[in-house]
Amino acid sequence: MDCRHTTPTLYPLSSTRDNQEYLQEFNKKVARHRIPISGTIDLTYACNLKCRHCYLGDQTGNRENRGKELGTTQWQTIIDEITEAGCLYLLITGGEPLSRKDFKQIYCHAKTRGLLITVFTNGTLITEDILDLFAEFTPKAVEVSLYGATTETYERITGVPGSYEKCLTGIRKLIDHQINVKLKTILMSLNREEFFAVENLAKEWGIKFRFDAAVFPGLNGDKTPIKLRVTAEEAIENEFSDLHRAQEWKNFFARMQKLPVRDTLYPCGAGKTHFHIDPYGSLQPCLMVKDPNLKYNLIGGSFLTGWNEVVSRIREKKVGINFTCHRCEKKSLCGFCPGFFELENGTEEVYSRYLCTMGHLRFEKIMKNDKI
Amino acid sequence: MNLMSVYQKKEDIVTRSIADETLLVPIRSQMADMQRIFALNPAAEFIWQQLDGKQKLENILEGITSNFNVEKVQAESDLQEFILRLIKEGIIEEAP
Repeated sequence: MDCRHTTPTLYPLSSTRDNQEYLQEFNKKVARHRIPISGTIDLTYACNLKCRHCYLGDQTGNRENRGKELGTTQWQTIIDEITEAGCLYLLITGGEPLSRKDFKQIYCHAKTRGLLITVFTNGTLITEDILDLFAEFTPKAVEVSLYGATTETYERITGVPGSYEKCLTGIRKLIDHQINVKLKTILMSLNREEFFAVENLAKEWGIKFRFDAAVFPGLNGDKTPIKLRVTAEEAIENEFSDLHRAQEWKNFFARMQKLPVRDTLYPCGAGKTHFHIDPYGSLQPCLMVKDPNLKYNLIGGSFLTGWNEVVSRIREKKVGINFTCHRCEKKSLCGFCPGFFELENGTEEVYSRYLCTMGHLRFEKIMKNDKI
Repeated sequence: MNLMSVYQKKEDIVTRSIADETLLVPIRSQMADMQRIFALNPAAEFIWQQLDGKQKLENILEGITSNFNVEKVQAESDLQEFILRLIKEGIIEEAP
């Protein structure tokens, strides 16, 4: 008789119907034991572009701060520690991570430790060296940001002449080398006329596309970038113009409705199964968290200590009794994020009107459209 | 299946242990999606640990019948299927 426990079995870690049960159990176990299964590392805040919407602010300062960034060996040590702690999914981003001269050493170190790596890049620094690297040590995905479908629009945003062609060339070369490329864009007033043209480029190339309209305030508190936002109405119209995207929101909403309402302020994985490390060695639950009590300096410290003793404090943050969003039925549709609220409004418990409006509009779309 | 055969893990497969689960992660892979990452159940993990380039399959089979509540005929059939699967997925190779 075939006994499940004695029959040696391989479970592919993809969400096919055959092994969904295994994957669900694995994810529950990871959450139960608070394993830092996924992490983001910002290798640098320097970038060769000067995007108008960028939450990292003026590049002059970021480039000057390169001297304060973690060195190669420091990053490699951190990678060893996060792997030991159970990290599996690693996002390498920045700034522009490929602008680091030691990107290859850091990337290879992470790949050979058995991490599944996604790289976010502006696509303009895809050299033959990088292509050879990715061809041999394949990333899970490379996500390229494309801000327009014409030179004029793209470079109006990036501020660097010649960057559009470099970006397109980078994307094409990655595709030619059979790297799993994904395209994304930020929808803003400067490129709204070309949103569908960018989406069509992704379709032509046969690659996945996603976008975000919620332009962040600057991490330094500068609110200038949010003036570039399109209206929430326009953002949601674009979002639901694609049936697949609309269906994904509907399915996500249905799944979230089954979950109990919790009193934790941060319902996401930040600090529970996810961590973030900035270029200077600060470990924190996610990019946007500003609370210094949730930040730990990895220089002279250890990842596990920071994860267990400092970052874990995020679980202690509970909703206040007057918190408007606590029992909102649309909370799963607005991109609810207290970190984002704090950047925008100076406090975690005053919601973003922009995100809230988008949540309401998504709800209406889901309830009223029986085609999705 | 030749029970005298000896197999070993390929060099570019990393064994990860996360939340008491054993995962096999290829370092180099043309298919970099999640279909190439495998988790092992306890029986699979037992066999995986033995694929060290020295142990013959007959020794591994003996270990399975000693450590798991399974008849030898069934164990041999399961082992064969598992080894073939590992070969097909490019995870093991015959030892020199």
